[in-house]
Amino acid sequence: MRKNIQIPNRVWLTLKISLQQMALGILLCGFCFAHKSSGQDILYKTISLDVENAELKEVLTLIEKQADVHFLYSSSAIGNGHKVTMKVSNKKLEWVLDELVRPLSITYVVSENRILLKNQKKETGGLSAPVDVDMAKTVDRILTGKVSGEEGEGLPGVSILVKGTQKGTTTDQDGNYRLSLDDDQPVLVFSFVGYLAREIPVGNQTTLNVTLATDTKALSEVVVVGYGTQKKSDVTGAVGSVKMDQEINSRPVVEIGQALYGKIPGVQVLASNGRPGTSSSIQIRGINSVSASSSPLIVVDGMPLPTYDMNILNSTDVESIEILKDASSAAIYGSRGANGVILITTKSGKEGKTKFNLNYTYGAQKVIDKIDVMNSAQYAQASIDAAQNGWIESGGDPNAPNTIAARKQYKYTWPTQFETPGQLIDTDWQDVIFQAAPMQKIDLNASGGNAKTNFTLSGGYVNQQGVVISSAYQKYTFSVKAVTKVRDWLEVGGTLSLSYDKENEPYNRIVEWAVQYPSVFPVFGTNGYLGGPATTPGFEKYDAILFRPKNGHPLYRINDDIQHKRFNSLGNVHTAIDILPGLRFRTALNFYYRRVDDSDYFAVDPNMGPTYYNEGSMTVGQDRILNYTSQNLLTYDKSFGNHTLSVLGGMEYNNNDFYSTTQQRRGYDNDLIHALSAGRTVFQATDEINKSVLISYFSRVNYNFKGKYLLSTSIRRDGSSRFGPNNKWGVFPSISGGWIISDEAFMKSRVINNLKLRASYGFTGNDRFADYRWIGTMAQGRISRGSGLSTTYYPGSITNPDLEWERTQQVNLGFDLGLLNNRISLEADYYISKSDGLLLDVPVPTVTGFTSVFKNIGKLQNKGLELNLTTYNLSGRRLSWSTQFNYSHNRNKLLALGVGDAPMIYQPGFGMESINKIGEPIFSFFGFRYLGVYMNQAEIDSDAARYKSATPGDGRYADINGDGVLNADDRTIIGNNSPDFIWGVTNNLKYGGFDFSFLVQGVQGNDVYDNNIHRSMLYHEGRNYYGEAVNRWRSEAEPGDGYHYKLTVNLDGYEKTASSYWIVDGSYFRLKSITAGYTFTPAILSKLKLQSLRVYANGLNLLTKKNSPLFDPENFNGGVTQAAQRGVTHSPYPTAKVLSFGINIGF
Amino acid sequence: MKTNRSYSLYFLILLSLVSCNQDQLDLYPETKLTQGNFYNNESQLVQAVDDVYRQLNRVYDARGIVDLYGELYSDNTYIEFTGGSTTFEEDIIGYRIQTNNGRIQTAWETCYNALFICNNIIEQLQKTEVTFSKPEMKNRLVAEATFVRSLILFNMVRVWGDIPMPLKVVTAGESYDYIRESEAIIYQQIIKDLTESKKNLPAFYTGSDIGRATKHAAAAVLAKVYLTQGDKANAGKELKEIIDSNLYSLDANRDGKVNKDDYVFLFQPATKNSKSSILELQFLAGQNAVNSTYQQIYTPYHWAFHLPGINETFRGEGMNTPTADLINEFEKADSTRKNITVYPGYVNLETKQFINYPFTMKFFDPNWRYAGQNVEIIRYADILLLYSEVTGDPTYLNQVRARVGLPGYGEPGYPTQYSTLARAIEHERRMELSFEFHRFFDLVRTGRAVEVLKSKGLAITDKKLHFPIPQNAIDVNPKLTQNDYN
Repeated sequence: MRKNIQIPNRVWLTLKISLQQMALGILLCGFCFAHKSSGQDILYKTISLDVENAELKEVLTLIEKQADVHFLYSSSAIGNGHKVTMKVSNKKLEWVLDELVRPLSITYVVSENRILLKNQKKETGGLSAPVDVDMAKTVDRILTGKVSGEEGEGLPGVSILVKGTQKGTTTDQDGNYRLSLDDDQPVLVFSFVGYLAREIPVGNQTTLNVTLATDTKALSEVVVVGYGTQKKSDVTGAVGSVKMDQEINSRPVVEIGQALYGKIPGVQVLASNGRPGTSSSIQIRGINSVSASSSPLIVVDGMPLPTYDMNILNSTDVESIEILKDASSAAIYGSRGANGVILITTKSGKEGKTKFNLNYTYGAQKVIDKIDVMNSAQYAQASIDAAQNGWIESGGDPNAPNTIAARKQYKYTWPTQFETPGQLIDTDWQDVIFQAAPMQKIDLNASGGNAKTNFTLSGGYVNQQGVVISSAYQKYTFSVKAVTKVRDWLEVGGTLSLSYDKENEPYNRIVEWAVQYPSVFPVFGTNGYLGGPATTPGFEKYDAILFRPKNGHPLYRINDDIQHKRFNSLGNVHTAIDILPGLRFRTALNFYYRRVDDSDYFAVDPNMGPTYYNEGSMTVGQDRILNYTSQNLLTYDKSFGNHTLSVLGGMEYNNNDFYSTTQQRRGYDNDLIHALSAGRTVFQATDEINKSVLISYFSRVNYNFKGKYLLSTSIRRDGSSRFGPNNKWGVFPSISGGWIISDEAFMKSRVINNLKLRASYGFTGNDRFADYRWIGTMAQGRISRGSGLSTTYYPGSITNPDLEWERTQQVNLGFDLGLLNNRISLEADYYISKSDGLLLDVPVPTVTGFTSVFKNIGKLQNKGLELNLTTYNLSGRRLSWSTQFNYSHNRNKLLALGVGDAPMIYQPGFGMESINKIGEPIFSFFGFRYLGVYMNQAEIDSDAARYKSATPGDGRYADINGDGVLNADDRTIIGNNSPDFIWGVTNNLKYGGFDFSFLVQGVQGNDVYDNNIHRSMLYHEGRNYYGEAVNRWRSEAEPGDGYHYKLTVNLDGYEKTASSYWIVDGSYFRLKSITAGYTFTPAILSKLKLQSLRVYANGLNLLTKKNSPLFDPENFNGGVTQAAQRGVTHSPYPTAKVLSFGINIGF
Repeated sequence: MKTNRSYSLYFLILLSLVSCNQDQLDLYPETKLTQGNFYNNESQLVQAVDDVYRQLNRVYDARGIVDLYGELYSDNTYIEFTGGSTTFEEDIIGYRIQTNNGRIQTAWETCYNALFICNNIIEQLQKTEVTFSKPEMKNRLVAEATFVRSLILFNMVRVWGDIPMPLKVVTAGESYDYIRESEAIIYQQIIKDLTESKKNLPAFYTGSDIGRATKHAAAAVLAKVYLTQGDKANAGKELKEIIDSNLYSLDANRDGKVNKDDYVFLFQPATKNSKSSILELQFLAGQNAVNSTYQQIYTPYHWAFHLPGINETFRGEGMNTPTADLINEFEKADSTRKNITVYPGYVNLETKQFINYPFTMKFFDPNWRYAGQNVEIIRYADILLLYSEVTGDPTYLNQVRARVGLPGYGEPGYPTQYSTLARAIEHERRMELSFEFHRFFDLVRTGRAVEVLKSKGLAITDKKLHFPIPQNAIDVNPKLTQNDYN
């Protein structure tokens, strides 16, 4: 891309060019990068020429016509009388220009469809006298003057044209010009890349000094911030930005969060599971809340969404995603900003011919990995070991025969087939339930506009099967956006975005069962019923002991029918009025409607024969949210002298209306009709209504002095119905400042072209928890007497009129550094945030009747470092290579909890406890520390803290408090899911029309509770064991690896108690995405009559390096917004790897 | 043009302010009542008192504290298999309870929540200005709630010893001052409350009120409290009052004959609040009713399991499996009680193989998914056996035995190993009342727990007669002390 700016090996020759010009070049580079289509397209346009001894100017005119470009040059630049000869057909403009002007030492700069020609020799060789364009004509008068930038500096090379003619000149190195005029009332057009063009009638003047204003749009990347946009160079907070086109042109991104992987430091993206259509879970700068949600606020085109879901839009409709990470940038969202804010901006139409864009991707998906479990022979041996060990521990004679007569209980015996493991069936259950699954995505988009109106219209369709059998997904999206200027002071517009998706979900334990069901059973056994002990000859007597179909055959729930249908509609209508220059009033009504239909049919017949028929049930749920926000903004932008001021004032009224209902019928006769009506009895019919209102007033002032001293403050006052009457209103102020040191004279440097220091401090809040929580409600109970039922009432919660938001205050310090014309740029941020008034279910003594009270207490700290490094390693005309690297770490620590700071221990019911404790990270895993195996009796005897039932081969646990007794007091923190750091590296390479990019992304130092290890080791249910248990302790002669304890059917030690044995290292890094593409040249396109054409291949998640026996350490069981569930895996639906091919056609 | 612009602007600003009424921030639940607008009339107060019976069901539920301590911890039951990822129940049967035992913690929390609900309604009744339809109504309602509170406290003090004793609604701020009260003080309070309740409770109810706590239920609990205190004289007075009321009889089915059928009658789903019943947990069969879950929780943890006569398989939860020791103690002639108390196993419907895995049938309801059999807490046989205990007169014991066709104590054919009346009563209570949450309480009351259980190889000690206080309670309020459980 950079090849468009300067012929690279000449860069160093032109050092005498003023810094202004360099800055321009650099910024233009950013500009070109942001809109890669524009400059690139022009140079790829094809030209045919057949000229002999023609004037260069004439040739340029020919090219202008053919390529629809506009050359800007002064006569002095190209000189007079150059004759050129050229015969080419269908050559790229780039090639033609190189041939044509390079021998003349002329360089060119491209912007949009303008090409500025500059003569290096003349412009760098001291004063070059402006030369009149046409000496032949009569000269009436001479006009002189100076063209300057906003700060008074002379602008060299500005193109000056007499309107309606080809006559003109350019300014010299100091910005001076001289022009002879023959027209009476000439109008001059002053234009210069990066500045706003001006048209000025000359009148009778002989001197005309002109000031050009920088074209902010072109000069600087613009980022979206709360309630507005800002030049990136003016941003003083910590804002991350991703331009979607760069991400999704090359891969089938169904859900928007996918595009954020490894892109922004401080932003961790997690796939909670691999079900198609599932929103990814995003965490910005660590967890800020214990009880309330820690998911960011999503704002789509100014509309704050009431729920977190990254899957409600079509990714191809999205222009950019900005993430407000620090408190100062998020403070404008007040009580909803504490978890960071994700701003999603959808695409708008652009002035020009209506463009159509068609994108089609076809992909094949496969499960990302398989979990290593024992094969049949290994399982048989393990089962024999477990039965025998249990038998010996129960006092049995080790040499007793393997018969029920000798051993009394079946659990101490084993099927005789286990003794001939070679003849056992060996079913790979993971192969049974996983499938190679196709997916396709097609998007069609039309956009265009004129000076007053622009529009965009798009439709999309996704059809995806899941990698688990019976899993399927479809998504339909439609969006329209239009804005028109009714008068020059009045603008009206609106957007509407609809999405409807439909998922067939496989039963949620199918994967877990496929991992744990023993391989010794056939898929289908006797009578064609599900394979299990009762249907496998020789295993019948073990029906009660070995794992059986109803408990865990992967196909047991395959006849169920679980569906989700979601309809999302969001958009706005808005009106903007320009009251005075710079003063604008904008009012918008934003609306969001979401309707979710869930149905879950639990089949009667699980393929196990009539005695195993279930009762059958159908549960149907509907949720709907109607949310609207009325938003009124007054903005005032004003520059005077060295001061630039931008003021925002606004008010917002948000109303959320949630309704849900669930119905269930039971008692189905057969599985033919999956509808409520077919069930015999109504089991339940419930509903829920939750309403909330948020009223907000907010203001922000951005001020800069000389463009290099930046100051921004904001304040928001929120009133929420969620909180107690004593604390309904909260105030969230922020302040931030920046200093662009590189603009100071003393910092002018060839090496450092940009250095900005940033500092910010602000308050944000978190109101993300259930409505009405402050109100003590009367719960309903039921009792019976005789044959009657009566309703009873009891207090279900305690009233807390003081309930209010959680408040987070954050300091952010950062700098932006650009080196060597921004070939190297670094953004670094350091932050400390403290959240207080944490909404906690604070444990209280049970004499209150409750175990906890929901109140604002507790403090949590997050601090971290974020680095983002971008380098342009190669920027040749044909070959370019850039690298983006980011790194971040966050440390989380609880500073205060409830009364007496007592630790809060959670027993979520799946075995592993978690703890919140002062000085420790939030939601740490809590249990015994496993120390490996007692290798022999001597080791047990020498351990003071041995437990009574310990025998050689059993696990050994740390006596944390050193009191010589192993008991509950020895539980300690044994892990945490917060990573030590996360990182990502993206490389983009281009060679001609080919491009190649890959993203490697990693997470380090997070712990995961692997429930598969835990559950698979509980023999009494006969599950298969995880693969590593092959290296278990078997005897002193066969001690295994010293880590994996022996197996036994009599679990009487600590094997069933939460310990670090169940914790695995969740670190990983992966080749997240790899893309190869080819963009067709204009020559071919013109033959095909297309605007653009690109084909590409992409691989997603192809390689992962990990330490744990998990499908994907990212996956967890629980909702995407449940931070406490992260790092807890019971083998959920795993992530897929995807290989896809796509084509992108513009016409 | 200029005016156009102004008008539009005014209009829009006006529009934007319309919605900004701050009263809109005061929103209340629409699908639930709030505490602010309840307790306003007699029927609401009755509905709130009714909840104390739901609390009784919770405290006596399978895996509730009375079950864990009364049955699971005793020699009556054990666990063959059970699911789950913890060893909470296994630790209880193994007499190696950790202080963080989740089951016991949950049971503790349930008890205190139940106490709070009792205290709350007592306070509401005391301060209410509602005029009741019948003058004695208010006192009766207070007495019902006080009775339930006393019964819960009585169970708690027996399980944990000294405990914090809230007698009013305790705020979070006050709660830290509630430390463990001595057993003596708790018993004093229970006796005072039960004596008071007894005065205000009716002897019996009619119609839809049948099933509420009566004067005699209070007397029965009071008798047990006295007996636990070693006060046989007062216990005897209370028991005699119950017997003399003539409201109760072993003729549960009221067929005029006292025989085996009467025992069977007690454990059938349709026979609620019989003549033999003094206090029952009330259940109702059918979907969305008030179902009893004991049968499913107390049956084998096998997927192929099915109840007798029902060809639908389901997996029970493996709790409270009868021990061989219990099964063996039934006299040969005692088949009536044995067959209901323990069922030997089931036949696997697929493999036709008999699975030897006993379970109890005391809670059996053919409508097993949505069972509705009432559960006996105090019944007349219990009273008779206690009365023999306080009086030393085997007559009452022998009435119980005669009902199931067994020879009386001291009569020919009576098993010789129960040579004293005390042993005979111990044996009889086990045979008559197992699975009804009496066994371990009885053994502790008679001071026999350690001796009896030790002789059967169970790892009990004197220090293990009380459960540990849940660690969590001490974590929250370090002023609470721990029982020495070792």
